[in-house]
Amino acid sequence: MEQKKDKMDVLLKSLIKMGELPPDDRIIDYLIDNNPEIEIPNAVRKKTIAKLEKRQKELKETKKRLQSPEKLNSIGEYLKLIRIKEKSDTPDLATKAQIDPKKLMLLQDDRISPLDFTLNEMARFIRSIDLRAQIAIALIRKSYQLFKIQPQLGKASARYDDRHRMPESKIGDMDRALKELILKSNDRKAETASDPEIENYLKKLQEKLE
Amino acid sequence: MKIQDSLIVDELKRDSSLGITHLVGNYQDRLYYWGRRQFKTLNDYDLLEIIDDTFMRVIEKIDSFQLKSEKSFKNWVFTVFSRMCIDHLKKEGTIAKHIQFQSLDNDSSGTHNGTLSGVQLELDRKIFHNYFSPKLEEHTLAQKVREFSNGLDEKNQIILHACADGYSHREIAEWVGIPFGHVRVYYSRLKKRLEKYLIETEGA
Repeated sequence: MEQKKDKMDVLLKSLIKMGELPPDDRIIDYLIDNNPEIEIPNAVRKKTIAKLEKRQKELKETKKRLQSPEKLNSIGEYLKLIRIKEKSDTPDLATKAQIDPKKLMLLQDDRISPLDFTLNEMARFIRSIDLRAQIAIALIRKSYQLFKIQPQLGKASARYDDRHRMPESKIGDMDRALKELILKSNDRKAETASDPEIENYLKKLQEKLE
Repeated sequence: MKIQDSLIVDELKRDSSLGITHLVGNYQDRLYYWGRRQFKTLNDYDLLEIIDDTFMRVIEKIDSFQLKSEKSFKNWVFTVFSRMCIDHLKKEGTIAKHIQFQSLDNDSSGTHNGTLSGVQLELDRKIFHNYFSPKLEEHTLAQKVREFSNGLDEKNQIILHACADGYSHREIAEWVGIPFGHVRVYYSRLKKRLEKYLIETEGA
């Protein structure tokens, strides 16, 4: 019986060590009161706050943009935002969706045609990021358009950067705005001539996702 | 001045920077002191980094956090912190040292003999194994002990925790306001109750 009682003692100690039994406030206060010589410097505190505020701002903007995914420029942009929000990396997502991570990285930068993904791959990917089929299809269509105009986009972006010497922090915003502009102009053209290859792909994808 | 956890949670959920100031103000010191005591193999630099990462995780996951009771936020923060410390030790390959360090610590306090140190190590390994199991719901033992502890009043919670953690009975008696000689009796009864609880809920 004595050994059983001690086993309880051992169990409790192990759980405390594992953080499975969080401490009581009085224990913490006691530790602080009895070690007044140890103090976290103010500079460290300020640095922590600054780091957290930066991340909070980033998360706030990301969440705001993710609230209206239909307004995004491509499925790649959605993927990028999800990664920022979840702090996950591409290999994590690739493993989840069973897709080659390199292909996902290219998709994120609109440097691969969505048609290079098999229907099964794309369906797995969309399910893994919890995106509604209708929105996913609209974003894939935009990704396809962006991929097709990639050379044009690259030139326009480089020209603008040269002329205006954009600061590093603004380049992302500028690229996004440029993509939006080009997509809008292409939308008007697309009304008259749609690409049967992508439309066919998206139709089959929709069937797969239903 | 200590800010209420409910206020911190509200502010953080609103993405307010005031929430961050309060979170750091309330928890940085507490996690630091706790970490120094519990994870003695971690150096100061790593400890402060892990505290930052803990706060980062808190602001990232705050939307899905629900404040169920007054203590739930604090418990959540400490659990995230402890798990991150353990993950760090595991990555560094010093987790075994951490276990051994703690066990030797127990020996030096004179509370266990060599055989019990062996029991401790065996149990530690079991819990560590459970902890690193991919299925979180498998942590049944920890869950049951937590349930038991949460069901106790504040006085008994402190006695259970502080005695197991090796604080002197005199200090504990001061915290909870009972005669020094009663602490041992309380703790012994609590352990019996815990054992009974674990046996009774085993089949549940």
